[in-house]
Amino acid sequence: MEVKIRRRRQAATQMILLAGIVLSSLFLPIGAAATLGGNVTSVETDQQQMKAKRAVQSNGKYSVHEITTPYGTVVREYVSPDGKVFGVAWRGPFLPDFQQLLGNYYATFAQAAQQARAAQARRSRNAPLTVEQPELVMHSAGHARAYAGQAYVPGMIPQGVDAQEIR
Amino acid sequence: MRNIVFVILISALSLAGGCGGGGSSSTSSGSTGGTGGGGTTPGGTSTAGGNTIVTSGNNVAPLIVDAGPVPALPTSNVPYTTVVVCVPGKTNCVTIDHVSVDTGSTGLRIPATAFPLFTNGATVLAALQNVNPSAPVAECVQFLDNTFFWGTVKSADVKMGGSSNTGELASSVPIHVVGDPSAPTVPVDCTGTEEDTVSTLGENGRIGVGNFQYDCDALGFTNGCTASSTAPPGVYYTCTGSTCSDSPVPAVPLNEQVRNPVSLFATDNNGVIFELPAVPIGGQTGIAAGQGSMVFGIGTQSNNGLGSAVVLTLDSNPNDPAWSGFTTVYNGVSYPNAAENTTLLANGSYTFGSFLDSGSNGFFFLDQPQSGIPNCGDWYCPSAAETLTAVNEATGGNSHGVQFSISNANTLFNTNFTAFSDLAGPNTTGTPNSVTQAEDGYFDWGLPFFYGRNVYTAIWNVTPPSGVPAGPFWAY
Repeated sequence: MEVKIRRRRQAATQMILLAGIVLSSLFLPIGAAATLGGNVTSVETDQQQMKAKRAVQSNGKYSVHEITTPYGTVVREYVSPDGKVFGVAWRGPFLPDFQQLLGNYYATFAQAAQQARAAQARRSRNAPLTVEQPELVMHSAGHARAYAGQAYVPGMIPQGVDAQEIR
Repeated sequence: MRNIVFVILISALSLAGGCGGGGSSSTSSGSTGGTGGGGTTPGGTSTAGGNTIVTSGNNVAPLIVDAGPVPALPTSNVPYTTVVVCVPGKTNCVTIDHVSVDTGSTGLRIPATAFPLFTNGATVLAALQNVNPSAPVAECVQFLDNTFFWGTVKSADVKMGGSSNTGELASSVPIHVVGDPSAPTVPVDCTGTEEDTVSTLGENGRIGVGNFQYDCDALGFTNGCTASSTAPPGVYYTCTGSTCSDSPVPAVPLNEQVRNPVSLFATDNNGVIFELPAVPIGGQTGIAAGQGSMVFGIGTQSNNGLGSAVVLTLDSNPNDPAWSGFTTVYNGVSYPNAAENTTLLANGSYTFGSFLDSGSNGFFFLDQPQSGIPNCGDWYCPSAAETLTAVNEATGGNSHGVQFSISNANTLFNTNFTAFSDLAGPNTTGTPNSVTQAEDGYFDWGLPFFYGRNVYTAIWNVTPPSGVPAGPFWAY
């Protein structure tokens, strides 16, 4: 148990050390609507819709587009070298718009959430949600003022990247 | 600094045994503050579970636990009270029972379908006006399970406590009338599944009596939602006819935001106390009327003093790592992890805390590998009841120990009981089990925590009486 925790912290530290920070304030035309699984251009769509600032970090394995909304929720979109968004993570006082953020994978999330509710009728509706599907893994947790989570497409994660880095 | 404090506290800690969900000891390294009456009142108290429960007074509302008002959707560990909703300034009122009480949210939310179930309800509902009649305000509230509440924000007088539930009055409170078939169409960016009628919700309403006065105090800023440039989309909307829009995101004045009614009570307005009896391992039928109470005000009367409760300060500054809760130390590890939170903060990200929440119906914490407790799907299912200990450590240095028990959730649910002091579940399941310590590494101390101990929830930005610390804080 402790080993796992230590390993995760090291992974996070390495990512930060490797990161070269490039600030970007690009406002490009609206591209594809989908984000997760979509092209990097969809990040710009999200940025525009969220009226947010964006910062890009790269570490050789992928780039992280960090979108900071004026209302405090930070969304990170993980883009592979071939320009695809393979994972997203969020953190902040309000949940992000999942329809926009998950794009084509929203339906998978919605169905899994519905099944979780049906199977766990007695669990609070603000209890953490886990989605484990072949095409989508998602963890969503928190409470009012403090939400966080991650979603990714397992088959799209670049080789050598640990899903734990999507955060 | 936090690590040093934690080491000292761990070495100094000794946990006392207790019954049911109770049992704790305190190791306070800071001021606990607080005066008041010490938790007793001249008449109307009971001490069934070890903690003193005030059962009468103008500032005392019933708190019961049962299966709820909808037989098809039986609830467990959901506390209910009774609320009187009136047309502002009028005697035109409806008394609504089975309104769940949530210390983790803000404001009163009543399904439109609840009103007609009670005498005079339909008349009251028809007479309630929007908080802004010329530019009607509506709100979308989203939950982790992809459900949402949708409805208009209306002004009402809200009464609770005392005889006939009219002991305390909050005048012209913005409340959320949800699941209203006559409400404007749900906007496209209020996404998910709408579940906000009595029959889909399993309750007649929900009252948020948490640490904040206004909905948008969630932003951590005093101007939450009052400036369109910083308000979140998908929450508040302005409506014209049957269409509501959040583009541009509307600025919502504080007096139009859904509000914690307690903060508008005349004097007992700085918080609430949950006073519930202990519940034995394995559960019990429920908490009947007269056995549990919600007391309004902290240190404002002779019956609501802090006594020996330890104050866990909740930081209202979003730039502080502890802004959203406290740290729980379990098995020698701090959750959430302070160093990880500091890193997140340095990256401009928000941090997480552990917290108390009557709106969570179990202890939710960590995951199976971190806790070492086997899970059965979304619940913990140890083969035999386990008794565990932890320490809750607040910003500012105060800390308080907790002894708690966990039983097999499947066994508990195979009874007809509705009150369980030993119901728990993991924050995440599946593989990989853990996301990160910061994201799943927190403790949500739900209703089981509240059994057998008096728990104080103090509100931010309400002036407390002399000798009582300012909110936001929790104390127990």
